[in-house]
Amino acid sequence: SHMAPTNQPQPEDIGAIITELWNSSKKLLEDYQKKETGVPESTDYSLRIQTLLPCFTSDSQPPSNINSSTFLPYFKAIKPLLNNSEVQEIIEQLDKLKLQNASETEVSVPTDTFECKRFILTILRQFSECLERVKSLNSGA
Amino acid sequence: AVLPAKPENISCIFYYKKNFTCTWSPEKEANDTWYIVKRTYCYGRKSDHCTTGNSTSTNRTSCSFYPPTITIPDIYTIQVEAQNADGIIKSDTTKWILATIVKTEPPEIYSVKPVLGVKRMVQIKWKRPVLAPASTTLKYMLRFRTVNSAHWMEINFKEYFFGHATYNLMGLQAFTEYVVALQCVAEKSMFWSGWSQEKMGTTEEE
Repeated sequence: SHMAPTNQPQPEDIGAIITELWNSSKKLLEDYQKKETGVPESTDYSLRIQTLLPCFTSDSQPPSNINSSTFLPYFKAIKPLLNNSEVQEIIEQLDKLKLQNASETEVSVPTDTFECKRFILTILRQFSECLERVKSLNSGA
Repeated sequence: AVLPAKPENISCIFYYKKNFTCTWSPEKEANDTWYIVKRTYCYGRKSDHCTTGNSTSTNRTSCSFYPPTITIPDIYTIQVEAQNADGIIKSDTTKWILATIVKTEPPEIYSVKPVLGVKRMVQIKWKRPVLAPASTTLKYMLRFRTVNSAHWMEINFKEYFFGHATYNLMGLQAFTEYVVALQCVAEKSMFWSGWSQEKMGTTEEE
């Protein structure tokens, strides 16, 4: 008998996934900033990403949850550009939070090298800040 | 035809950020038997497998899965298939909640010192293992003895907040050198880390 578990993590697990993501995203952002010192973030990517990437899902009950299915395409797009297993672990965690029938958008990465670095830095920053907010919401801070 | 024996006593352990390893019995099986370990993960949304058991491999009834597809928290199912030329025998499907089988590295003690003016006490400071889940509270076991005794005494306590890594060991003898060691476990897990390296410290004079 193949008893695959339910496909949805329980609320307690969602909180743990958010904490693990928070830990990984912080490390990834720090590593990238060290590696790419002097690369400024881009305000227009920021604005565009912020509008496209609402940080929360709209569920009312706790725990608050990150909008996994809109961040996922961005991480899949930048993964080949970053030689870092942390990115794949973030993708694995986001897959756990993805709603079963969620559609996935395609993301194109800037071809210009400098623009590409600014794009990556903006995503990592937005993601890290989003997790900080979700985590503090969940811990009632 | 001689089918392989049904794989049983499946036991799995999750070495955080290192590997997820399962073993099973019978350990001793004919050389021409090999195994496929089928896993579902990501709460049942994904699946893969690992294989073991060709005649040259040493540990033939053990198989491991590796980063980046082993992340906590998660729920796995594991089924072991034994195969030889005559056919396939499948184990029962087993279910594994990663938080209950995670094993971390030991903590690292970096200081055992008296606190100025506080008699019969030393303050122990350590580093939370880097390879321990951020999402899990750690429980600790502290053991200590005087340097010239072989008798260990033990104390249990819990991490109050993420990264909390100080403990005041009180009720000791004055002006005495003590040996201290520490181990930890993720709160819901059954597998304790190994012991840290032993560290020495001396209480203040009376």
